[in-house]
Amino acid sequence: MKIRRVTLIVLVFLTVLFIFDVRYFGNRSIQEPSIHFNVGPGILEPAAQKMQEFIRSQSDFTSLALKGRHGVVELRSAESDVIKVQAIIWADEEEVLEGLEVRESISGRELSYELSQGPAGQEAGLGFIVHVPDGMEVSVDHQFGSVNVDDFVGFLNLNTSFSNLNVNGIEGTVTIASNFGNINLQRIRGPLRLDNSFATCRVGLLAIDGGYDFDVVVTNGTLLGKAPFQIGAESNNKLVARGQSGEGVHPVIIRSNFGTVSVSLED
Amino acid sequence: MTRFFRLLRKDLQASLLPLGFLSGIALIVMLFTRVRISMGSWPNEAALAAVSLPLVFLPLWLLWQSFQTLRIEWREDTVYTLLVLPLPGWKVMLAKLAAICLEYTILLAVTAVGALIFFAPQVQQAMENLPSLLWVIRNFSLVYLFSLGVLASMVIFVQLAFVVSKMVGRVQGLIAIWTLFLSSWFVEVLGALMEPLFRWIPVLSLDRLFRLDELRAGIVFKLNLASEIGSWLGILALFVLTGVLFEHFVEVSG
Repeated sequence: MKIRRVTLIVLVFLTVLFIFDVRYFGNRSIQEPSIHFNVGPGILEPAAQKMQEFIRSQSDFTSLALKGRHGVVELRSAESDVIKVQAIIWADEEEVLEGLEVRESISGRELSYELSQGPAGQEAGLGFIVHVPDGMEVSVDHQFGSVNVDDFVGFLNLNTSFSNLNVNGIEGTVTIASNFGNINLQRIRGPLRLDNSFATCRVGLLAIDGGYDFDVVVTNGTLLGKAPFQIGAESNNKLVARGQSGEGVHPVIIRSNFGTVSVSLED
Repeated sequence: MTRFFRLLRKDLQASLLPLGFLSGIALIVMLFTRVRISMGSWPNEAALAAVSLPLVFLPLWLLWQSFQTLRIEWREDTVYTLLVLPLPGWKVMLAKLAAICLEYTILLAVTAVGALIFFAPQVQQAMENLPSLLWVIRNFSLVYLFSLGVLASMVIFVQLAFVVSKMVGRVQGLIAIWTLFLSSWFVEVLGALMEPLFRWIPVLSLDRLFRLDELRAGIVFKLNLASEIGSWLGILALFVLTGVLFEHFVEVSG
């Protein structure tokens, strides 16, 4: 009889501890998970490659669109009035490479570059080194590679998958949609919209006049950060963070599924 | 040691019939799928489903089996014999755990052999996309060991839940389920609390262990052992606790 009582007392005691734990320390999902799995971009060594260069005056265009694959995209803006695009095409064989070229097209005030249709079944890649004038709108669509943006001023739209994304210094509006890859955004000054799945994201914001309005939702993932927002847990493994710095003029909207998101704001 | 192996043999003999039945079912499903694929009624991908089916069902059945082997001891009053054996409680539990692990290994081997016999062309096709035969054998062995570890942990939880349920007079089923839940919560918390003690242990690069770079460049697969070791120690402690409770405190008439 005594052992029954002791067993029940121990179970009740553990149940109380469990309730206490759930009530006060329940948000364990904000801790780093012990297993880290990420499929980064496949780094394919090009067997053959060639370069095409395009130089255009900015006065005719307000936006630039790039569509790449398997290569590296390097983007930078500067105080000039010239759009300079170096396209690097690669293929597995010289014969395949000869039949490939970068197609330049103009639609209204938008300039765009993408790879021409190559032989069916042959793998080919396209990367870019781009210098644009300050204030332009640039859209990059890239798969299987990496995208590096440095000291950019303007409007940036990035759509990537299986690619690593490194942004170091942006003044302007940023919109990113990314799946399967690491995202590292540093020295961001301006509104941000980030949608990602199966990605690890680090977002480093710089203080700005008017401040930020944070709206972060992480589903089935981890949310960390040193920013003026309150993290709360909702049902369905959802973490929600909302808050403001200053007057909250510039929106920072982040939606993440199955990923780790870290947001920080530097003064 | 001989007594331990006798106990293990007894548990294996008790599982012989369901083991044979399940192996037969798995092989029949694979044979049936093979025939349908040959007739052109089903696509080649059905082979994957036929092999996966037993693998999905297997852990669930084994967890039930770990509960059932203990339940039978009570139902058939053989628990008296177990308790008077000159064997510590943990060895009794270890024998049952080892029996479950052996059953798992046998059923896995049957599934693998069945896949090789019935789906040889599909296996050969899959092998062409994998780095080498050695790579496949090595990784399958590692996955088997990892899955065995996970299964053993689950069996330990089930054993504790059953033994604790036999220490109370009523609502034993509910107590067993609640104990199962509490014990898994307990080891999770223990892992989190002990994590700072083991931060000196380097992160285990599973991508290197599994040689995933031979499959595709850029795969990162890491396991932070610091937060796991506390949980593993907790599971070990629960196993010892189950043995002690079974040996000294369990109510046979429950």
